[in-house]
Amino acid sequence: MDGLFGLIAVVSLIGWIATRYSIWCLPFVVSLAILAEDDFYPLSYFPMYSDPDESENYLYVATFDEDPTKHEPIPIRDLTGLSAPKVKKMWKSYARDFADDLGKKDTKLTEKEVNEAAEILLDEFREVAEDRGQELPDHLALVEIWIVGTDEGGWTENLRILGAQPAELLEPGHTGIGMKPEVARTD
Amino acid sequence: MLEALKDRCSRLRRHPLVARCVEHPFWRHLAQRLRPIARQFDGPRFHRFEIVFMRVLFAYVVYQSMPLGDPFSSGAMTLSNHLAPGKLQEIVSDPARDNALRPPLLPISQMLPNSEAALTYQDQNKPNGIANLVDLTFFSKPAFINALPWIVIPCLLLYAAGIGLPVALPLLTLFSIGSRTLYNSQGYIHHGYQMLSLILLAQTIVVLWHTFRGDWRAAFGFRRAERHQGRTVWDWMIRYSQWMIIICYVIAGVIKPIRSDGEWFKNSHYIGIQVVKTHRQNYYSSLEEKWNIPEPEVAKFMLKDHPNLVRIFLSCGVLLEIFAFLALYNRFLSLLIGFALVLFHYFNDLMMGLYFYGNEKLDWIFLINLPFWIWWLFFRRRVRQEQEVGEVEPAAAV
Repeated sequence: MDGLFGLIAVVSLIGWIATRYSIWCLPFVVSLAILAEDDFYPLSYFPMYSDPDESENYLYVATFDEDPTKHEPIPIRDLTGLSAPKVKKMWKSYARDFADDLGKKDTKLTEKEVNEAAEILLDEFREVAEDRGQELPDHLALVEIWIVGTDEGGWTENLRILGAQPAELLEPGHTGIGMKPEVARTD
Repeated sequence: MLEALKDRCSRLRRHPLVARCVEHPFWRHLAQRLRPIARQFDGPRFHRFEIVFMRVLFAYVVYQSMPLGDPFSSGAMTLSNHLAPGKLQEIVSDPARDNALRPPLLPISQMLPNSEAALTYQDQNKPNGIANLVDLTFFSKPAFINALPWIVIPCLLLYAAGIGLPVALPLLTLFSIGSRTLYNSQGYIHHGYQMLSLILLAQTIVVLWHTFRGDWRAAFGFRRAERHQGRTVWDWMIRYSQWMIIICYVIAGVIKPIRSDGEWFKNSHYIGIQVVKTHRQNYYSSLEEKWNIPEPEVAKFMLKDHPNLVRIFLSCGVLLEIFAFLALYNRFLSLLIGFALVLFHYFNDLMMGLYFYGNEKLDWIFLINLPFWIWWLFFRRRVRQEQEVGEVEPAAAV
């Protein structure tokens, strides 16, 4: 696909220079943006909602006493300025970089590696909060929920602890996978 | 470099084999058919009053997008508290009153003269675009934050007045792209300002092109702009701004069937799952009770009650994005598709809480272009009857 869009970009550029018709900028910039993905602002390929399927995830930050699976969410935007969508985007970016350093894909990270990457992100949240004169609780957990559509037109929400601080409170490799208690199932 | 490329193109075209292909009757016939259409997409000549309105309104939107910080980011509230204490606060904090003009207009809070908050990022851990080459954290330094309004506001005034654009526009573009790149270099990508930055970039290229290759005095606004290839520098600035808007929609439309391997239309009712996600994300950001809805009605409607209706409705939205470029065929289509895009944003906001107010503002300014249609409704009789819409001889803007 990249080759095709590269070719379209080159042909449009030549057409634009040769004829000076402004319409050539349409295929040229569209192809460039698709090639650039989201790596070269102000170009973007606007990937939001471009591949809908029966499952989707979101993340939140929570605090807990002893057991990360029994947690209370915290209003992360009020404390850090980072909304839940930003938390998710940061997680994707941090997990990808963490996996790159290990020379593997982020989908191939082991549970322990996921825990480690999540801890790095939680440290980052602490720093961002500190820059704003706020302090996050000592016990923090990064929680992921997978929403999965059912055949009957409803959905389930499944919980997973990606990482926690202090790390020793999360059993090694344990991610607390299970149904989100208050939502269970919606059919 | 462009001259060299053009020279190579013309040499290639003179090559016997290429010449035989190009001069084949089929291509000549096709070119003859397509040329008038391509010319039509170069746009009408714009009236001076339209250009002035667009410049002033666009300068206002650019001001709103700049990270100027206090007192500019809360300027409207401070000013209104002097005039009528608490009144404006009451309006914008009540969603019903804030959205009194919506649709089709924007929430009142989005039309206030408030800039963006100052940036506070001390590093760029996940560099994006030019942040790979330049350290942009100077946008967060107190000295720069203090100096920024003193550069941006005079540039915006010059821009609105149409004077000194070869200096003002590159600076505004630099600040827009620089600040938003730093914002996007924190590990999350925000998609609210790409369109605005692209417009600034396109206008900068047009103005610099005319400065170096055309008439620099006209580009600086020191004298009346003359036509180059049938249009003035102002006409080209507006047309390429419109193209940047349209391009953003076309990208968003084209990418959907590409990324989903053609299954977007079949799977589009699963946007209902995204609606659930958006509700949850809105809740977990600040734990606001209004978002604590176990079963969002819109999601149930999409996933369970009417998935086929939803498929048709959402597919219409994607087709609107893909064929948005038709808006630039003539002024009437521009108005029609401009309104359709505003409604498209409104429904996105209504269904998913997903808003792109900046893009809506740009649709109003550059596509819907109300000043022209008001003029067309009430004053067009003064113009020769035989002239078509958009073909009226405009005065060159200064």
